[in-house]
Amino acid sequence: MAILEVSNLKKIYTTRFGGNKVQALSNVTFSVEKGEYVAIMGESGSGKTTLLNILAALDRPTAGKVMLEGKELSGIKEAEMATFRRENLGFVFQEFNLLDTFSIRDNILLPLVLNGAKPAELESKLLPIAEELGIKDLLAKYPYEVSGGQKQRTAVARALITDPKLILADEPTGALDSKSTDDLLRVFREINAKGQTILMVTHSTKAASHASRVLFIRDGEVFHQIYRGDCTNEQLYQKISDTLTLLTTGGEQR
Amino acid sequence: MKLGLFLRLAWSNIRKNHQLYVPHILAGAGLTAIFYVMQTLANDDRLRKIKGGYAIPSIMIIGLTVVAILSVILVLFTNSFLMKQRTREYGMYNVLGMEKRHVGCIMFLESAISTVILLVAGILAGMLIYKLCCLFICKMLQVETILGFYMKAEFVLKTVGAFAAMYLLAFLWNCIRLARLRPVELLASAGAGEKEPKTKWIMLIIGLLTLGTGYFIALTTESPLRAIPDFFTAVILVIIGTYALFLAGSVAFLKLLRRNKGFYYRRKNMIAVSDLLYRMKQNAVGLASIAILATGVIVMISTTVCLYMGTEATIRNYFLEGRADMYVGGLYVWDEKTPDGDAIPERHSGQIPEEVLRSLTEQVVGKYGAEVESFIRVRSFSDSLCFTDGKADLVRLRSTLTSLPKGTIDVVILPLEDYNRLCKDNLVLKDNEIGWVALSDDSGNLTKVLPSEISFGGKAYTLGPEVKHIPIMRNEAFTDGYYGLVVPAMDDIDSIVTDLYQPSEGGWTYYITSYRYYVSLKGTEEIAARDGVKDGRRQSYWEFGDLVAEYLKTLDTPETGEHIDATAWETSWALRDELLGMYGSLFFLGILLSLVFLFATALIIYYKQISEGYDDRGRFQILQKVGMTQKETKGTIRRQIVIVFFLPLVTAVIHMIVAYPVIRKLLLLLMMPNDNLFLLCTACTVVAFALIYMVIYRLTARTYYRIVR
Repeated sequence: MAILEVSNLKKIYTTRFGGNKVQALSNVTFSVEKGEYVAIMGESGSGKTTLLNILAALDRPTAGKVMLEGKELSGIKEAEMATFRRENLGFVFQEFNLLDTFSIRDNILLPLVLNGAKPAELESKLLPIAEELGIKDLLAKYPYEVSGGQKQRTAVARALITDPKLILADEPTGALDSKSTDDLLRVFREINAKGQTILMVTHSTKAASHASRVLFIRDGEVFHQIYRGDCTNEQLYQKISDTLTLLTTGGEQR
Repeated sequence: MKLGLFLRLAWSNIRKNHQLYVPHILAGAGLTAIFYVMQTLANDDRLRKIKGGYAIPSIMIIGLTVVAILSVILVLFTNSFLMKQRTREYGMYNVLGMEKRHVGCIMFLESAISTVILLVAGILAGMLIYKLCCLFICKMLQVETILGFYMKAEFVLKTVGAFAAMYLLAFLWNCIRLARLRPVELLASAGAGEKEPKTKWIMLIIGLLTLGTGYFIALTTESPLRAIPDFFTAVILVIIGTYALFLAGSVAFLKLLRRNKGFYYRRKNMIAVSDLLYRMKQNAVGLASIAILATGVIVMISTTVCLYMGTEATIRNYFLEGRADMYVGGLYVWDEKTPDGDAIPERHSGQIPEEVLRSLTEQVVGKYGAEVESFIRVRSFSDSLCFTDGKADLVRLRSTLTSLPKGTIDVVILPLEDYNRLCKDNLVLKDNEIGWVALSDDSGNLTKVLPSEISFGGKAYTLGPEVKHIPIMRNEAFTDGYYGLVVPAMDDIDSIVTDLYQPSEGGWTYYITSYRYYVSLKGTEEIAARDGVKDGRRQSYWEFGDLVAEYLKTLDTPETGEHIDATAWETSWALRDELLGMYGSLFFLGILLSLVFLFATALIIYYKQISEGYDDRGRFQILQKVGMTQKETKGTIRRQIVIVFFLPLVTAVIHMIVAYPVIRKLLLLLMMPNDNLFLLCTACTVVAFALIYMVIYRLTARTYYRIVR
């Protein structure tokens, strides 16, 4: 069963003083099955970020709809939106977005606390996740005291702690060195193997090559998609980079 | 060519950074204006000539010193903030290929432009404000308005010079910072997080101790005489304590909250507590300064307003609760000797007989069309005494200001005859009996304080009947009690006084009793209106002095003529001039200084809001991404800002409440007895200050929200 269904999504931005209209998404349709690990690729300006914002319910589409487990996002009231997001979605960002004023522990616990969880159940949820992500020893430290990779794992822990239906990751490896990137991608594989659905926006071929399916977006449309099938990471990597070459040289696969 | 470019660049920089420069220029102009006003007030000869105006210059010079010190601090403070905010920009110029001396040149032009603007604005505003001040002062002193503009190049130059020097100093300081600037570090350090504040235990303990001691002193001071040194000790302790507690106490308290998991891990508390921790780290000094400045404003305004408003009550207190309009008289001086041992003629001013004084008085008031209605003689001796085993001892106040012996009481001693006339009583006393009255019920029953047999001037007395209230008593005890005593005859006072004051070796022995004739007049208003002013005093004062001098010349001992000063001529209308002049000038100084304090407060708050705004913007966005609604985020941030904002105000109010009893005692020293008036003034001042503070907050909060959004 599809956990996320996106159909005929369209987004037109109107510039501030009326006049110009910019079409960010023209017609995007795809779906994500439960337990899938989907990467969305595309160049700057292809509409990736707009798509992610709409999926995250941070922005509303001009036309088309987004269904999360059969519930339409645009049908949710503004007031309930934050709660809905907190309970159903987990976010991982390129810039980590950790709060300087919180320790690693508090950063991870924040969404739970916002959900109104009881102080007693906090620790029992935190420890297994921290252990799994290898940040158990860092819990008392502050973001400025740990490395980029550790920060990103903290962000992943924060995304996971509410047991979200879907994790949305926006260029999660963008600010990491290659070793931390490998670590993080391994973490994503592991949590995906445990059944967590992940949707990742990236333009790193390496990051995308870990996914089970890769969608390509160009000029506001889904241009192509590749299933992993039985490919190894290396084979998938090759396929992706071939597709990208085709994309940039202007292939006419429409 | 190059200069033109730099000038354009500097000008556009100022305009681009108007959020920083507008308050910088406003504050500078405000300080310049007030400095100019005070300087001119301290030197304006026209003010000296109006009645009561002679107090203004000397009071304003005190104010000028305070303003000068505060100006230096504030100028350097705004400058350092400005520099901190703009360092990145200067670094960028450096990266883009400008040499440091070019950047320095732009910096110089920027500060030159802003300084010229603020000086011109400040001086112009100062001239206008000065005009308003003159109107206000004339209104306050109840004299005719002085017309015309008063300005002297000297004051303008002095003010401009002083402030130009301050800004030059600031510029030089910036140059040093610029020379040390390494742009690479600057760009790299932008994203680094801040360390979590540590709990400073020692500072916390110091803060608790100093504040506690300060409060304890303020709350336990009993005697108004002790209030002066105690007050200053307490003020210094409380200032230290406030800074220490804002710095260390806030962090310790918030960390304690954080350790309580049940409290901390709640929706409303978690973000607020940890954010406040960082806010306090950044702003503790600023907030403590606001608290101190706010307390200063409240104390200054409430006391000076109270003194000013209480002028009439004070005058009534001086003249038998309004029964008299003036008094004439003098002091008996007993066995006065200079350190060389030269005797000064005894009781010289006491030599003027009642009929003579009365006729001299009638001559003077007659000139102004007033008549003497009654002429009541009151001879009295007042001092602080300490009884041991019923024997009276003198308490030398000058040497024991800070440590009065326990059981010290103030007394006013009157002879029976004068008491009966003053209080319209028909008291009869036995030869060795003393009548007594306590100032109020809470000073206690004298028969309980003293044994029934007391020894006074080598004579044994018994405590006799309680008598009527004696209106020449002050309104409050400075010591443990305040009593009026009535003795059978003037001779008793003489022997008491000679016994108490044994001449000490090689020092002045200056023993006084006073005699006064309280005079009530018919036609007081006419005389008050017609009695002119000469050399800062009423004409009648000089006329009476001349008459006394003339009379003394007719006596056998001519040297007594040098002691006219010992002869008092005090009228309610002259006292009104004097009190209005003094209290009015103090009030006015209070207002001017409060303005400067408010400038300082506003600046600190404004800069706090701006610097926090930039920090909070990032936090605001993250919180929303993590799943808070915009409303919730705004709510938490507003709550924190309000807490941080009200903390200094609440602190100031608490300080004021604790200081209230001491300040009330200080006011008693200034003959300001009206308790309810002071309470009212304090309450009004607190409310008014809170309102102004709120306005400042509202204005600055707008800028804050603009940044955060």
